[in-house]
Order: sequence, then structure tokens, then C-alpha cells
Amino acid sequence: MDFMCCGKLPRADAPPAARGVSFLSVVVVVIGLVAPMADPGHAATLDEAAERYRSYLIRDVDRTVTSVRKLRVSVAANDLAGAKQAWIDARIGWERSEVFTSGFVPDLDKDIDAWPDGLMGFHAIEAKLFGADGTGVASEVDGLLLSLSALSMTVRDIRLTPQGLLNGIARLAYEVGESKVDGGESRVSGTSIDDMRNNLDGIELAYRTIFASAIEAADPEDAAQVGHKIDELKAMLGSRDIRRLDPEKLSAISEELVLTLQNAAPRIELERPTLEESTTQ
Amino acid sequence: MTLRHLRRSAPLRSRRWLKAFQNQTAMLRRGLWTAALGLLFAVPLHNAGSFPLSGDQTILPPGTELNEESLDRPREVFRSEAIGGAKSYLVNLGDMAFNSASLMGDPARRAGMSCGTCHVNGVGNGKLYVPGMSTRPGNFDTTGPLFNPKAHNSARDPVRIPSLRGARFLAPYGNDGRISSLRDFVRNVIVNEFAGPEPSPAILDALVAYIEDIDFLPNLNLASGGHLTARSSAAEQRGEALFFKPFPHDPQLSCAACHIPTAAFVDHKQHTVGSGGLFKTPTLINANFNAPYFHDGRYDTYDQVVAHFDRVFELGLSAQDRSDLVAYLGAVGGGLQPYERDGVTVQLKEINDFASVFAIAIPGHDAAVIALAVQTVGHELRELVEQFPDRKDTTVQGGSEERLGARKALKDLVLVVRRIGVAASAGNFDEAAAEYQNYRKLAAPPLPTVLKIAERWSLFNPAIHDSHFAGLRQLLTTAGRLPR
Repeated sequence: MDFMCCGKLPRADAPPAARGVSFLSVVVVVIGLVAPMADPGHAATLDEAAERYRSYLIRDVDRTVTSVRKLRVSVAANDLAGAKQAWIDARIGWERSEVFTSGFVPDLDKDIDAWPDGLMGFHAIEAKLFGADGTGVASEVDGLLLSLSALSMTVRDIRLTPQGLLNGIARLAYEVGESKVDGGESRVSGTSIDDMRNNLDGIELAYRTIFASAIEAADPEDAAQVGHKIDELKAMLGSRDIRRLDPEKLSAISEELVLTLQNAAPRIELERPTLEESTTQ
Repeated sequence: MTLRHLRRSAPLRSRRWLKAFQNQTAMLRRGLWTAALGLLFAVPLHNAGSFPLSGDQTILPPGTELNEESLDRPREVFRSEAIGGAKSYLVNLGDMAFNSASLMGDPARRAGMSCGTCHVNGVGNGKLYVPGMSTRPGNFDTTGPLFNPKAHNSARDPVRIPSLRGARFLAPYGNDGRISSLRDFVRNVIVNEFAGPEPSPAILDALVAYIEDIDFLPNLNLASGGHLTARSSAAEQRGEALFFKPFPHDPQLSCAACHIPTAAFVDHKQHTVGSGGLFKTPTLINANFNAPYFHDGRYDTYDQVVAHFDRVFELGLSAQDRSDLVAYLGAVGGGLQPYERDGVTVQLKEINDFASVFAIAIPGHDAAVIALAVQTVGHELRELVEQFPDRKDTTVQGGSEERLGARKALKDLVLVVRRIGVAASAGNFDEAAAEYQNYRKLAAPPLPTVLKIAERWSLFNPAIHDSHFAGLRQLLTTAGRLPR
């Protein structure tokens, strides 16, 4: 991974390449900030890094809120194309923040991304917008906005534990490796591969911001391996065509990424990340 | 979250003998699978035929079901176990390979299709329907364009998907009996029909060992020599007499002349029976579970089959005769416990049987088999995880911690299996062996108990299953992907 500085935060709605460049700048800043922490005080430095991650998390969640507000405006104006684009935009920040949501706020996670009956959340809206080409989703959008607003509040003051975030990274990495033979999570809109790519962006953001430097100091091989696996996943997801994904390779790389994180965790004084956990962190 | 829990590819393989249009979830599954196949095959299928190919536009025809998400599955009787033994390494390896998409060429592999997708637990999947490749549920064009364009003959000539029960008695192979060796036939399916890479001799041997270990279901209606037992009904006995009766216009022929009761109801020959060519004599044993019938699966019922022979061979059967023959066929075609309920116990046993190949492959440094097992066992475990809905599933109430516990335990196993693969691929077979011991430890109690407790809130529970799929159906109906 090379680190070029441009001094910007990643734009959630930027194209992948642009996001990559912006992200690298984040990495530079973060690496610079956490580089001195390769010593015993892992816990304290990881806590500090988790706090730095909070700002990116807030930004992603708030961008999602902004996009859903645009979605509400588009729906009110019966602007189907605008509504669809706003929905797609809103998914970017949401999918990136799943590193955090599934473990820290499972109830909100469920409300926002409920499945499979489509009574609420993103997929209820997706079904009508993209499947039925209808904009009659005002109540669903209002409900989603309410949940996202609660999420926006929560991410500002909830305690972000490094262990919980490492668990979230590992869990999401495992999930990226799941078969998408059925079309994936957002099959009605045809944007499942974007979900996966945004998941991976979220994984990389959290990893680089919080853990990369500490793992690099503790075991450069593990750090290199994590970077390599992330890059491999990026390359796979770069095809932009879910039909072209090799399911065996995808699951293998995702699991190897999880294994590497599990190997590295004790070296930075954390527990091996678990792939399922209770609501308590 | 993914839609992974909406489908299970073989070998979580079973089918539910429900009338499809009476079952909303069945309709849903059809829609999903058509959508999935349409999604995956949209490019290669662009000229594959007239059936609409986009998953956005299609649902499968009545009766279709790609054996996914069903709660009952055909019971598999293994010869080795029936005689008091145990399945050999070869049989377990063959079973695993049979259910691995890795053997197939790219289109099938990406769709997660394996031998077991079409032959569910070794039984023909009468509900399989592949858009562009099937003309009705239960048949499949093996020379179509989808899986191997090199084998495409530009004709729509699908063939029935056969059962493999008792296959060791049923040579030659193929509906037209064109291949005498089961081994050659299996290779042909993999390499030519599904464009898979050339299988190794060891894998071919294992596949043959597995198929040859699949027995017929026991049938209490049949005595030695293939005759009906005394428990048979009067109608069945009258049907048996008709079965042996010479045809009026050709006394050398009778039903029994080709379907020889003393020889598993086959004669190992091809005949023309007015169905458009020469086709081999199919067995009648357990045939109640092998519909549709004839080489192309044109008939759904014995009534239709008997009517065909009556017409073509001018048998002059009365209505009573036809009814009696159908009764006889039903008696011969029966079998004990044809289906078993899918669930944690069945799935764990199968997965552990697959994983048992590690015990020989790892010390044997058999990297190819280890890699195949890692892929297949890991895939099966991942599929089993999704039988326990996660917290986002709004159709499941209760059992959250139990479901999470089951998911966690199974995911841990997935990772252990991957550790075996990583170690073996690095040539570290000692570490792979240690990880396999770890697998065995984790797969032992209390894991079965953890899963069994959570099963109540899993998709193995019919109520949860129906609730989940009703919810999904609701979503897809809203999306216009299924008819209201």
C-alpha cells in the first residue's frame, strides 16, 4: 500500500478510484499519528485511534443522512431518477459503516437494513423504487431517516472499543466472501457489488485508521498480509460485474483476511475477533 | 447482510413434494432461482432459446423447484452401510466431489451447481429447471449452449435427469445408453456437458465408488426375482399378470421382456418405443420417485406412460387393464422412507462425512483432495450458517442468542477448515493435521447440541421457514419480481 497525501477525507460519493486516492490521504494522516505507538501501551493508543475513526464514521453516517434527505425531496417531487440516485448514494456511507453498526447498534442495524420482508429500511425502499419504478415510499423514507438520525446521534458519543471494531472488521470481511449467486444484498437495484466494494472500503478505513500501525509494529508480516488480502479483494471487486465474481476465490480471500486478523489480534493485546457476538461489547 | 440465506446450493439438497402452485414459498424459490440463473447466465444465454432469460421477467413453470430450501430430501441408502459396514474414504470423497461446484466449468461453478444439484442425494431432481436449457421441470439439455458451447448442437433436445439409485446395475449409461462405462459417463458429464477441467483419476474413481454405493430403497412389495409379495393388492397382481402378457401384435414382446424383473427391471438394451429414437430400458424400481418419465421427461404419470404403450403397441387395454398396470407399476416403483426431514443432524453428519477425507488426505499429503475438501466443506458450513437467520431477519422472532451461538460456532468451523487449507497449501501438513484435530474437536459435542437448540428458530423449522419465505415473497412481489 502506498501512501500519497492530498489532505482530504474520503468522499463517500466519489467514484472508487477517487475514493481510493482520498482514502490514502487519510491513511497518511493516520499512520503519521499512530506511528509512535508501537510500544506496550497498545490499549491506550488503540483507544485513541478508535476515537479518530469516529470522525470518519460520523462523516459516513451523516452523508447517508444527507442522501436520504435528498431521497425524501426526490420522492416528494416524484423524481424517480433522482430518488434512485439518492438511494444509491445513501448506501455508500451505510455500507462503509457496517464495520460499526452490526456489533454496536444491532437494533438500529436491523431497522435500517431489515430483511427479508421489506417492511422498512433500505430494502423496502429499494423494492418499490427499483423493482416497481414507483416513488410511493414517503413513509418508508421517513422511517429510515428517523433511524439514521438516531444512528447519527449514537455514533457521536457511543464508546468505540477497539475489540468491537476489530470484530466488526472481521465479521464484514467474512460477509464479503459470501456467495452472491442469488444476486446479493441489493439485487433489486443491481448494486450488490457496490455494497461489497463499500463494505471493503469501510473495512480498509477502519483497519488503517485503528489497527494498521500497531499490527505493523507487532508483526510486519501480518500487516503485509492484511494489506495484500484487502488488495486482492479490491481487485476482484473491481470487475464491477457480480456475475464475474469467482465465489471460491472470494470466500478464500475473505476467510484468509479474517484468519490474518485473528492471528494478529493477540499481538496487539486484543482477543481474536469473533464473527458473531451478543449486543454487548 | 446478503441474500445467501435465500438459497442453498447442492448438497443441501432436497425437494419438497408439494404442489408448487399451492405453495407460495415454492413459487418464491422458483422466482429466486430463475432470477439467480438469469443473473448469472445472462451473457452466455443470450442466444440460448426462447425462454425469457432475465430474472426480472421470469418465474419458473409449474412444478419447478431447484431443490433449494426444501425441508424434505430424498433418502440416500448406501450399500456399504446397509450391509453393516461404513462408507469408505472413496465413497465419502466421491460424495463430496459429487456435491462440489469446483468440478464444473465456469458457468456452472459460478452458479454453485454441482452434480448434486441435478441428482439430489443421487436421485433425479424432477423439479430442476434451467432457463434456456429445460423445456419442462425435470429435464435438461446437455448439449445446450449454457455450460459448454463446444458441445452445443443447436437443437433443443433436453433429456430427463435420471436417478442414480442402483446405478451399478443399470449399464449402459445415458438415456440412449451410448456409454457402457459409468466412469466414462461421469467424465463425459463433467468435461463435455459442464465444461469442467479434466478430473483426476482419483476423483473419477471416487465418484464412481460413491454412485455405485447408492442402493435402491428397500421395497417390501417385491420378493426375490422381482415378483410381487403376498401383501400386494388384487389390482397389483392383475397388473403383474398383464406385465408378463405377450403383446397381441407381437407375441415375442411384453413389458417384462424388456423390464426383466429378475434383472432390476432392465435388459441393458436400447429399444424404439415410439418416442423418437432408440433409448435404453429404464429401471422401474423406485420409479415412483423418478418422474418425469421417458427419455425427455415428457410424461408426469404412470397413466400417461401406460397410455403411450397401449397406443403405440396397440395393446387394446381396457380401462381396468390400464388401472391395474398403473397399480403394478406403483407397487414396483415404491420404496421405504423415500424422504427424510432435513435438519441439523442430517446436515452435520453429511458435512462431517465430507470432512472425514481430511483424515487420509492430510497424512497422504494429497494437496488436490485437501483443496477440494476445504472448498466444499467450507461452502457447506457457510450454507448451514445461513439456516440460522441473523438479527436483521425481521421474519424471525425469538431465539436471537441461540441463533447467534449457532452461527458463531459454525463460522468458527469455517475458519478452521480454511486454516487447514492455508497450512496444506504451504506444505505444512503437520499444522494441517493439527487443525483437522481442532476441527474434530469443535465439531464434536457440544456443537450438535448448540445447533439442535437453535434449530427451533432456524429455517429447518417449517414455521420459521414459511415465515421467512413469505416475507421474502412479499418483498419480491412489491418489487414486481413475482406475480401478486
